[in-house]
Amino acid sequence: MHISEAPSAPIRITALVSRYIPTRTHSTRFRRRAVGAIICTSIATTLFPVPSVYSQSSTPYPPGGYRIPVHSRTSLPMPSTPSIFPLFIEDGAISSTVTLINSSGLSTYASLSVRNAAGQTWDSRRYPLAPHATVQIAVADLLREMGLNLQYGSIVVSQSSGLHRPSIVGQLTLADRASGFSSYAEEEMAMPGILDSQSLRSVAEAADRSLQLAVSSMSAQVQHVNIRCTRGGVTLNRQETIPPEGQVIVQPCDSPDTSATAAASATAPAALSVTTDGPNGQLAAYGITRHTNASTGNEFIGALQFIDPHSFNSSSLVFSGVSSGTSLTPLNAGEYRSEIALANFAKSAAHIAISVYRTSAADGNQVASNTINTLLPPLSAVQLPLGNLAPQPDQISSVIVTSDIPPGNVFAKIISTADTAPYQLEQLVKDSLDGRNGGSHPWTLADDSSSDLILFNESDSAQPFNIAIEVPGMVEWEKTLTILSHESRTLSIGDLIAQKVADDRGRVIPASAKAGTLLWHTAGPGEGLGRLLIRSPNDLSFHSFSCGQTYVICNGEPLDLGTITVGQQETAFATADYCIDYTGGLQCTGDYGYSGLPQYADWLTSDSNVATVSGSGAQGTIYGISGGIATIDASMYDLFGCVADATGDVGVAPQITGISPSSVYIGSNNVQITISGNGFGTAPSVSLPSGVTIASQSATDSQITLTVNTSYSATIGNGDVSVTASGVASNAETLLVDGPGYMTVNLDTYGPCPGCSTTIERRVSYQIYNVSGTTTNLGNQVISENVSVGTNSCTPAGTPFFNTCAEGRTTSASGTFTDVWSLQSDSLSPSGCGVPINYDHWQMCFNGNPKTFGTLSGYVHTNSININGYVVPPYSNGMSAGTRINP
Amino acid sequence: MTTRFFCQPLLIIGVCFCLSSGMQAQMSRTKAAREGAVKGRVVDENHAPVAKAEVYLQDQRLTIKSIRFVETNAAGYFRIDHVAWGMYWVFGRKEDAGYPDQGFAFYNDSRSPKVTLSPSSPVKTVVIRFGPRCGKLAITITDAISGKAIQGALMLRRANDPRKYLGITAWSGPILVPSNTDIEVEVGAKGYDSWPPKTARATEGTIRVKPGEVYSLAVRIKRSNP
Repeated sequence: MHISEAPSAPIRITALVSRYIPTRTHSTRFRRRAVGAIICTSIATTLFPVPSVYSQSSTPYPPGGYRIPVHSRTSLPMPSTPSIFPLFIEDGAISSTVTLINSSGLSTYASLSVRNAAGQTWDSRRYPLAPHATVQIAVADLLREMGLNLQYGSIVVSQSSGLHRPSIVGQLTLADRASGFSSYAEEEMAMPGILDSQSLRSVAEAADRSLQLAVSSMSAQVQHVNIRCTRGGVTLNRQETIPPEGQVIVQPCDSPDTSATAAASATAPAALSVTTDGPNGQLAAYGITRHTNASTGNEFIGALQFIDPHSFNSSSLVFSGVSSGTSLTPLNAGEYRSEIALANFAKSAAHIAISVYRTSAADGNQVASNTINTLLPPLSAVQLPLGNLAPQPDQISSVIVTSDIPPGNVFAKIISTADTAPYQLEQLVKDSLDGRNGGSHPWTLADDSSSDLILFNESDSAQPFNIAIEVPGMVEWEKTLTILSHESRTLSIGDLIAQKVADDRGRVIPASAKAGTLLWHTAGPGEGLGRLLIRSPNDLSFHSFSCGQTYVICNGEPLDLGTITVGQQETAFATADYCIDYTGGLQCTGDYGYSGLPQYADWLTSDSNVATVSGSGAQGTIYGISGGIATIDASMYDLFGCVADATGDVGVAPQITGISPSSVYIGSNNVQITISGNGFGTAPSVSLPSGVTIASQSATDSQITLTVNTSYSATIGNGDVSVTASGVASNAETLLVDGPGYMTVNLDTYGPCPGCSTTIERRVSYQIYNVSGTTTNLGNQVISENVSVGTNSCTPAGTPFFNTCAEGRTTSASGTFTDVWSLQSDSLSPSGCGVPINYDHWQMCFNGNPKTFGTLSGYVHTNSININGYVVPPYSNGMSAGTRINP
Repeated sequence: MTTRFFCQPLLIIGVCFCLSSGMQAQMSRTKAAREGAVKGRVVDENHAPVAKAEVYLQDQRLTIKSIRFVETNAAGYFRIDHVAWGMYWVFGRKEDAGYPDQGFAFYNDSRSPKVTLSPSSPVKTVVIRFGPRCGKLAITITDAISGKAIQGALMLRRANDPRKYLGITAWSGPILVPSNTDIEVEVGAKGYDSWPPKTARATEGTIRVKPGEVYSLAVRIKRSNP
């Protein structure tokens, strides 16, 4: 089967699809034969508190956690090929736990089945997995549900057939509590495939006790395997027969020869290999090393990762962010010193260069680099001291091991040891040209844990790293970091939250966020490596995720562009979907992984007369030139040669900078108004407040001259003026339609009405004002009242008289008038009778378009008069001068 | 109607003008059927005409309306047109000359004319007599403790006829007060004790001014006890 011919399914419905471009100007060292098989590697010691948000299984996470790494063999599996954990142990001393992570953005499920050494298979449960969710299953529980009583065996994992790429990564934790002290070994899920070879290799660090190796078959045929251990110059070969889908467990370095030579070599590092006569890619292997701490007598285990030597693309092996000294080590633990175990499987000597790149975490500057050179004899294994690789606490060291012989012949493993628990930390190794350019890791801050992303740029030039931190239902935080050549960098999620660090779009992670998923990728293979380290200060837990995937750009999302004004610039962000594609980027498609910012993009505009755009990454800067609409395209690409477009329309609005005069008076005609600004073009459309009409108009790109009429029906007050050019409206500026807006009290008096002895009269003089605060145009204007009165309680009951427009009552030359409220007679009964005034709207008549400028209410009684709550007598209750009366 | 005389039916523009003028004439005739006029003259205490005096009519019915002032000419004559049928007081004022608004009983000695307009008697002629001229009260009100100016209220009352009073809460400049008669002055403000105290009103707060005289009064009032 040829992977590139596998049917590609529609993953997400988006307007844009990616396309494959064979070549790019960007250099790539990635060889197309490179595999992108998913591997999840991790290191952990002691308890790792997994928050409930991760645990979607009813199976609780057992005491213990992820520890020593086990590199399963990398391979190029068929999409439907199941994956396998080659070894589980449930012997009373060691127990096993499976952790599965859905690294895709799609809902899926995983099915687990169990096999024994004889190849018998028991089907098992199906575990649903939401996007980026994690599930943990205690193997003891699984066996109990199946009614099995197995001490050893293998576990096969199958994922939903709806997924077209292996999107579930996993690891199995072996917890050893035999000596009363817990130690752990991590085992990765292996995905053998027909493009793999017939060999697996590993290097074991020196150990004082026997190492154990499990070899599991994925074949329906009997396989005959040769297991070789070279240690201390002695090579042992064992031939084993493995039944179909069966398993053998051996101690490959234990010799029946009890001679002194063999005994002396028991504590030396070992080179291990497994070779089969069966078909390619039908084996998986995993082993554990056993140690005793010399001072405490505590026993602990380590892990042996077996890798197909043909899966290596380069002769350089990378350890990103080595746990050494007190850097990247368990919190509150001791100081660790590091050693490196090396194995040469070739028949020729290998010149080895061990380069240590030390970075200051404070400023990212590389503080030191040094190289250790050594000669590794053919068919040999050695272990060399590296010492404390991070003498200062803020330093991070990463290591690159390079040999001068073909890839797959030199294996390496870094071990860091301390005098106190946890006694040993093991460092993962990656092929420098590993086809996986990203990772997906669950993070947590539960129980005061810290979650730190450790990135290392192993290339010779600065590289952008795309970081996405997802908190379900809360935020997607995205940032592109540029990391210098050979720089190591940590990114503390706790610090990002505490310091409210904004991402590239200005978003911050909410303070309430406690767990989520962290994803990262580089634009291509061989640009960088990363892992997530989770540590707790409470229990020395130490958990490292370095699950790797190949992320290719597969879809562009529409640009979310708004409208800018001429002369204004806007920052736009292009967003792409990244798909998990284990084919190494040959197809530019796969199962949806996550949405993130692209590292590289070419920004284009459809009309540079309207808007220009510049940018080279996710961020583009758009600049408005003139009114109109331009289509902006971000042509995004990765270094696999995949391209996706993100497009959107940006409206460039003309801009009004001023209007002169800034007001027109109601009822005025032929008033000239000048609108200043830019981007008006030659035929702008001007929108004016209701009732203001254009009699004539002329325009240039920066100025519009209008002659306007303002009808009496116009609404007094501020209105919006905008200019539309080429279909895009400008900002709104204010034009005041001025007119009578309120009145104030000049004089408030009361006394007996004319000819009266008891009934009072109240006279109030008011000054009318325009809304602009002026009194212009208010003199000699016809005013009237719109009055609503209640029932007159007096006998006889008169009908109140008030002003009408037809009456022609006018204001004074200065815009004042005197209002009289009185019943005007002493001959009314009963005493104190009167009439309520529900409202009394004082208005300008304005040729049948009355405009209210002041509203009164209250009552008129024979012995008291209330205007807007001011009741007289007593005389001191009258309205003060300047009291404002609104419409 | 002279406007009809100028109407030229052969000209379109003229037709419009003619129709418009004709409508105005029709409206005038309609108004004339419902409205009357009051005309007359304003003279001072020496029977001399008072120019630029303001004259107005006041309904002798329930009123919630503004006052329409007309101004006398140089010979003291005035005319108020478009007056609906009814009974009115005819008042005048020229405050800058010391003649107060006669519409206030405080100032008025009931000498103001009253008229009744009706279809049978649509035009009435009256004489409005001003005088004697008032004096002026220039009053300042301050807080007794802080000395800050207070916008207070005034009650002015004729001592010989307490039914004639004037309450004022907003004013600017000196206030006209009848001359040659005792005027009781009371000052109040919200939150303050009134002045003069009730126990001292027999001896304080009464002023008397001559025509044209300005009486300055500085009043310091105290905050009321809560």
